[in-house]
Amino acid sequence: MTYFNKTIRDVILERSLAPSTGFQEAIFNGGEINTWGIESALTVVPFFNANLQWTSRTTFTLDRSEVVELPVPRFTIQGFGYFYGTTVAEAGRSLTLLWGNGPNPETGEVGVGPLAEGNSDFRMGFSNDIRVGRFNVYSTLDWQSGGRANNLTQFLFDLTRNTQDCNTLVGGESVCVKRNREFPNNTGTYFQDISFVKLRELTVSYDLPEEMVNGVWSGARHLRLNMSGRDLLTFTDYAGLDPEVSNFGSEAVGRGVDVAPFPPSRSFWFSIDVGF
Amino acid sequence: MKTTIDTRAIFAEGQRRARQSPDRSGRRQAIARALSAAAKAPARTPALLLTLLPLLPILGACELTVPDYNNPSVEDLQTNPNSAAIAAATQGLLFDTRLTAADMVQWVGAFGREVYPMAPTGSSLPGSVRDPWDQTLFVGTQVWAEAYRNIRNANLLLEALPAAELPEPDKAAVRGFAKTVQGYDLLHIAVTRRHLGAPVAVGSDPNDPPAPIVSETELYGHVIALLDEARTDLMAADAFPFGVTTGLADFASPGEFLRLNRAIKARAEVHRSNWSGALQAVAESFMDTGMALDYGAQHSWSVNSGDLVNPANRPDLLWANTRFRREAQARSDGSPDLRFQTKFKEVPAYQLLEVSSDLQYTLYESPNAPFVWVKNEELILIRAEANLAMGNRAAAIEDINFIRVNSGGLEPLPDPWTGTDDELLDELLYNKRFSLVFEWGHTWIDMNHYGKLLEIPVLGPPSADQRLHDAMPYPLSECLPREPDVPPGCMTQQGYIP
Repeated sequence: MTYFNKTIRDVILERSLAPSTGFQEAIFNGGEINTWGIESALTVVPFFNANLQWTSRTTFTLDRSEVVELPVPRFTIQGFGYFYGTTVAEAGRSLTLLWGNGPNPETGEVGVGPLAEGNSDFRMGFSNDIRVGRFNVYSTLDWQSGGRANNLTQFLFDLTRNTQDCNTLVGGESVCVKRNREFPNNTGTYFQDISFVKLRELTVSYDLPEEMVNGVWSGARHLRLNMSGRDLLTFTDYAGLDPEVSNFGSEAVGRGVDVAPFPPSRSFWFSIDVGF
Repeated sequence: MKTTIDTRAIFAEGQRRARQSPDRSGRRQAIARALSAAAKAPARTPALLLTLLPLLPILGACELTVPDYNNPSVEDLQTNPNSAAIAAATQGLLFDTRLTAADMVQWVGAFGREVYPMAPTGSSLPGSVRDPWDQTLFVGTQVWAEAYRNIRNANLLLEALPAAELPEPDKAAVRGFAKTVQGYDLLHIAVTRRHLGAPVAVGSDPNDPPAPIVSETELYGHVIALLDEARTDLMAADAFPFGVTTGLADFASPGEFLRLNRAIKARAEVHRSNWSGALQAVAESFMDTGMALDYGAQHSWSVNSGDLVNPANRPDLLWANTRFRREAQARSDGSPDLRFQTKFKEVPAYQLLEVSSDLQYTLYESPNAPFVWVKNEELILIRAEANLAMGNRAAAIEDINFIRVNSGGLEPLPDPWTGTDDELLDELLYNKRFSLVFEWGHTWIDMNHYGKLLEIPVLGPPSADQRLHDAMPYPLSECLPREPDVPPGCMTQQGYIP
């Protein structure tokens, strides 16, 4: 189990400037960012004998970030402005918050503020490696709990009335027309929970008997056939193509924006390992 | 020197980011360190080194740091303002000012419902402009950021100029050119931000607080002052020490360019209702009823490497308001106004939400097609507009008729004119609309100017989804550094429901 608490001082920041200065952005050193988290793993071997070997490994991770100090006015980092949702660097706040237009919880008046946390509460992974005789089965299950993504893909589908539920009426109004109508006053309309459970990997392999291997090719010591698949099953309430969405590629801040990106694809692999 | 060249991002692109200047002395030290480390390394082949010894004096004389020719730095211009650097920086202004014009054609055009950007995805008109409009949308950012960037680039050029190795008349020519472009850039800000105002003090340290917002009146004051200062400079110049684009072929000398400067001033004067100033500026401009109506200055685009293509060449995105078919007046043979016939084409109807159009523009059907900057036809209409406002009806009618007959192929107005002044104004605006459509967002600017915004017919049912806005808010990046005292331009603009 690991606990980490990392504080970065004089971060290299790229901030946008008021364009009326004639400049658009400045790269500078400054500010302080704190990130802490927990990474833990538990490995259990419930069975281990000549016929059955089972190893089970469970991981648990979480992390939180905060801007401790910022020497300049707050600025947007990644996204499309408050109207469509964005991330903002502001002292005292998490870096992964999603900002936008929304009703003030106290007054109900529409204003700008952080609406939801994009980062997940925690993630867990369960992997099992079971060996029975010549067969070996390996699986990994990933579970992410909490976090939000801004499903602007659905906004676009709604805009052209192509979302599946557009024919559903609430009070005589199509639900996608309603979402479109509410969106300008509440960017959170399309924030959706990105909790998921995924069967990340499943691999089945078989070791051919040695005499058979030698019969085929005397030079080979062993021969193994592998069949595996990645991202086979996803269980999620997220309405977009994939809850692990990141429009801007692999980044720590500015994930969770979904504007019709290419989703991760399910893949299958077959391989033959030969040992000499 | 009267040469014609391609516009390139010679200088302007280098300003895109306010980066720390590359530390040249640091780089030299690094090279020195690397060389001394190499000298300390055990020499396996001393004989070879000895043969290289005679080369050492040559190496010593070599300047090992090479400037970045693709992105010339501000420092290069400031420390070594030779004639090539000055010429490149001046041409860079021409390159950039087009980007502001691009937003005028598409987005200001959309604000005045001349053009409907309709894409099933992305920020298209039925998707975003129709709503209460806040400063965080994509639209209208270029007609802010690019304009200010260009103004700052011009300031840098003006600061470097005194030390430049150029004769005084050439310096005056560069000053006159740069200030004219600055005035033109700032005019974009004035006509789009209107009563919200905007900053004018550009070119300070990027880490300073943003410049204060000044009123619309002051904004126009700055525009006019810049254009007038440019006039003084242009009059003291003989020739441009730099080449200009094909779009400025008729304005390639300070004397000719001054007439373009006056044309820009005439446009600014009508928008701030200084009618006598407009008449005087038109008189000093290139307006000439003996010349072709499209005679004037243009922003050039091209498919050449390093250049930009015409951004309004988008038949997949831009559709025309069908009002023009409805409103086009009939000619004596019953066919519609020639301007409608030549600038529009019928296409299969395209519908997005409640908006549908079967009309597109024929103006920019090639990526090389230029934008009109200012043309003769506009100046004649400006003269009519100023005369009308000053009560010189006969003079106004004469110019309106000139455009009706020569541009629209229409009959002259009935003589004597029995209508009211307001009807005559509508007739003038009809002609401005058809003559200048899809060129600079003129419809929106004119209708705002006369408080007739809500007379703009929108496509589809008039509703809260079809709001018309009387000013463009600032981009979000302008607003965050101004917190907590955000100016009105940073607040959501509700717009008016037609």
